Amino acid sequence: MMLRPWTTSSEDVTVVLAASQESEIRRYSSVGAVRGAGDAREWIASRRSHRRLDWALEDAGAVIGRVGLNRLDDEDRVAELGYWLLAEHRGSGLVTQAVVEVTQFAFVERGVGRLEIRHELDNIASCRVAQRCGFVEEGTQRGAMLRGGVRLDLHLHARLVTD
Amino acid sequence: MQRATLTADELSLVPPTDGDAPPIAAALCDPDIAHWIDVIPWPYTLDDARHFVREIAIPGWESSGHPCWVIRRKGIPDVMGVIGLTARFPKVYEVGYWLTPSARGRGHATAAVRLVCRYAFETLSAQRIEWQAAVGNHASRAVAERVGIQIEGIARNRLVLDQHPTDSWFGSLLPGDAPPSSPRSVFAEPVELSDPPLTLLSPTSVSEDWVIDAYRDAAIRQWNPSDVTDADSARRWIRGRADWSDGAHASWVIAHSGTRSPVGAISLHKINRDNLSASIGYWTIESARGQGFAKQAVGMATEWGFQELGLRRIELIHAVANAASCAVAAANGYSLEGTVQQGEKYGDGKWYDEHIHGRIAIGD
Repeated sequence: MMLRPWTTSSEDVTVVLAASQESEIRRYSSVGAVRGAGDAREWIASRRSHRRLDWALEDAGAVIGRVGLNRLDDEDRVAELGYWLLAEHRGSGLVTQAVVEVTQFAFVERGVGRLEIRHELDNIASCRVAQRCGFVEEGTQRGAMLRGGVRLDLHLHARLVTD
Repeated sequence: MQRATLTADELSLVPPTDGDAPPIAAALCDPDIAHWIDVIPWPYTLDDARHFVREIAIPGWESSGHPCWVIRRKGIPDVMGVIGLTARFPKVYEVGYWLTPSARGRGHATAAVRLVCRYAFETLSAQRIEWQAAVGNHASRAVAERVGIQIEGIARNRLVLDQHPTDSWFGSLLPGDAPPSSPRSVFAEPVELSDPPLTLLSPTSVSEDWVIDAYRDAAIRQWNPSDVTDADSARRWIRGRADWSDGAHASWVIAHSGTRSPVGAISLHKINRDNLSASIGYWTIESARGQGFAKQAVGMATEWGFQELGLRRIELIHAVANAASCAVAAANGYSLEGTVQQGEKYGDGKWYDEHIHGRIAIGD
């Protein structure tokens, strides 16, 4: 398993397009809005800003998913972590490993004190990853995300550097 | 974005200008306000206030990322506080506010939050308004719950107060939320109040034996009828007084600040957050009487009720025959309003006439 920054290479664009067409990922991730190669390149370009870092998750030389940090450099030293994995690679424990690695990076390299994971209530797979990685459940934010014109409740988990 | 002034009844919310920096700086020098504000510079200077107005408030309106207002009474230039919205996600805003101590207790914060939430829903098309406050900031939470904000959980180490990571209560108001129909609990757990030589502690800091002993005292039994006789009833007394969760009472043990040894008990009870009123009751053990402890403890609990709970009226009722209590009431500015005939049955099974004293929040 390896984490590396996204590039606009044709391989990465292809993976982003594939992810955007998978129903589970479309439902829960911003990548679901990608409609073509142009959108995919834009999505990749948007992965890197002063408040965001995002990595392609590689296994055996092929990109199979992503893990990223959002809302970085908050004065409160709070950030948010997100991830997805292509369907055929789920259940391998790779995303858990990657989340653990990025969590350590956030705490050690970026001085984050509190890292949050938020997911839709029916996204059980995401909830399990958060639990396995030590992100404690703190509550449910009502109507916190807009998806397809409907506001969805989000489950809030967090892990502290001191946990 | 168009800078908007919002008004309702006696309130006027106005986008800040340079002239507001001095009163904002003066208010935020008060550690009791600054203590609750996330990542605020400390000590807070006039330059910090100017930076806030020029670099945060004015650009905040231009980018629509952070519309904010100073809170005034109509026609009165004094800055009572600041309230603002911060764009968190698309169509999601967080509301934040502070009020100077002298402006509290009159529903101004509640009215201001209502106004700003309406502006967020109607003008900014907000679909969710978030709120958070440090766990223990009951004043902020009381305001939030009066407006109808629903508490969603506790986010650990979410805020940085006095440079320390601090847990926050978080919640939200959605466009379809009904206004609150009944008062809700605002107390997570007892709050400790300290003003040496006295500290008001959680009732869990005393032993059952201490409670049993206290209620053996003839004067306490007579004027504070109670069922405490044994370990079980004493345990119920401690648990009941330490459980503030129904929001109807806030009860403490009065103790020496240094040794934390208990000398009495005090309670704001019958707290009614629609009517913004409560009653106060107290007793001290015999060895601690005549030293002004009851007087000081009543002062502390009264101040907390007005400042932190936003109460408007607290009443103090005692048997006319209990002259000591009358002196405590008078010393704390509780005016004698009248005498209730045979108002309550006391410890000896007889009904006694009672004095009713009342105190109204300063400024009303």
